[in-house]
Amino acid sequence: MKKKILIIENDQDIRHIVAFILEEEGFETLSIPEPEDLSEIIPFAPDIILLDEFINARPGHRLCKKIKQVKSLKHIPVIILSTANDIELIAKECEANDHVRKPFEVKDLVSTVVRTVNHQPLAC
Amino acid sequence: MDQVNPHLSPYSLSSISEDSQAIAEQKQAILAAIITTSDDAIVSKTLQGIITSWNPAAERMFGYSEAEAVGRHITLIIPTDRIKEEEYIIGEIVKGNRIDHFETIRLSKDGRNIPISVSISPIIDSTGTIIGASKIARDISEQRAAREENARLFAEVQSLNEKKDEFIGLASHELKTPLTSINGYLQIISSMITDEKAAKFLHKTQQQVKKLNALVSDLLDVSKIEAGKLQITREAFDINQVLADAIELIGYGNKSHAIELTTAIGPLIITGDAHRVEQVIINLLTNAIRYSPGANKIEVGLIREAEEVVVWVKDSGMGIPADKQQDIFTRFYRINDENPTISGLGIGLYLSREIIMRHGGRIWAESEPGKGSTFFFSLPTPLAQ
Repeated sequence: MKKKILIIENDQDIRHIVAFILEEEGFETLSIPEPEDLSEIIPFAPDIILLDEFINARPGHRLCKKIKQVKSLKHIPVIILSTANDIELIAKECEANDHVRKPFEVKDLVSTVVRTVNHQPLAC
Repeated sequence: MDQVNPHLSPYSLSSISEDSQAIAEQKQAILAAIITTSDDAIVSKTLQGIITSWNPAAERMFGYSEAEAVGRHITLIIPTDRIKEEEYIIGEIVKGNRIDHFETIRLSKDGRNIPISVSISPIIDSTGTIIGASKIARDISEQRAAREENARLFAEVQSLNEKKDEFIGLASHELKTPLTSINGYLQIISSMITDEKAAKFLHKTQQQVKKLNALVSDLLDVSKIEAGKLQITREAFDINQVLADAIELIGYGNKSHAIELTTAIGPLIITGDAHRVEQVIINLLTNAIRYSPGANKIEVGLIREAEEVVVWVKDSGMGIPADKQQDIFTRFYRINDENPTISGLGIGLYLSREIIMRHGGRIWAESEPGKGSTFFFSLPTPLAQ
């Protein structure tokens, strides 16, 4: 069964590119802009969330942090995508599982997703 | 015969007394002249607050003549909302304390609020009893206005600076978003095309996108340094691996120079920000290539010393004149401003210095015009940290 990746990204082109690359690698993807309500993403039951963290988001208000506070979502690994130079700090601050700096190299994006998928605990 | 003490004055006791009185009168006259001509208001009052003296400067400052003020209560010039200050002042005076440079507001005869700085001292009579207070007041309207203007300007500059940082952050994001799309699409296309020439051109386009991205990142970093917001993470990493990765990255996009790692010392774990250190190495390698257009080799080395590791990047290019070597780490400084063929904004070495200094390391250069340059940086080893 294909692993499901939810891509949350406000830029339409980047959504297409990331989805294309990951589908080529055999993943099932759903790409959406930032949702108004986090409950919208529950039905897709993603194995991983790839999330664009906007550079100027205030600490504590980042979407990743919010995902990690929702009981039914917090177990899903989140990889943040960001243009921020200090992406490592943002990833740490919002408890993301990994990060990919934008603009990204395809091989880095794929290897980060594969690494995260492989580190997931087995489903009960 | 009595011996005459040569140190004793030959004057009689009565003449001494007359002289003392003359001196006292002279002192009194001098003090009176000082009080009369002073630009500061000098006022005295009893412990009950009744004004007992009022100099010409007080007349000018508060608008009351001496005749109008003397005998009246000091509350004549104290605004109603500050009456309690008088209780505090008299309380201190009764205890024998001075009050220096007390900033407050007093009221003029025509109802104007006058900002003043006042120093108040107890008046002590010949028996040592405190009988009143003398105050010297200076009009500080201009200083206060200047201070308020400075505070306003400071707040304005701070607000503009915050807006500038926010703008640069936003602009950087807005520039990098299309760069991400361009870069992504180019990589997808490169996996589809088979034509050798097209692949070559595509590769060159990708290199230019990388350069543009690095420029945007550097500009954002400069603004962060200025705002004191450049953050460094501290984690254990292998400096040898970071060095090898940077060489591979630069070597991949550059075929004009062979980059040779002349020392092989294996894994070397230090603590710091691996990404930032890699940024420094990439900056030094890029500069080495940029400033040695006629050469074809760059040497890189890593030395482990007692308390630090030292990395060096050596080129055999045009070198740096001695009188310019001290400026190369300053912001926006370019050695070859007159040479338009060498591009760059002059921020790479400035950023590198900031990154290395924030790690507690050093960065420096040794160079000879016509023979090339060697750039060194050191980072403390875990034991030294």
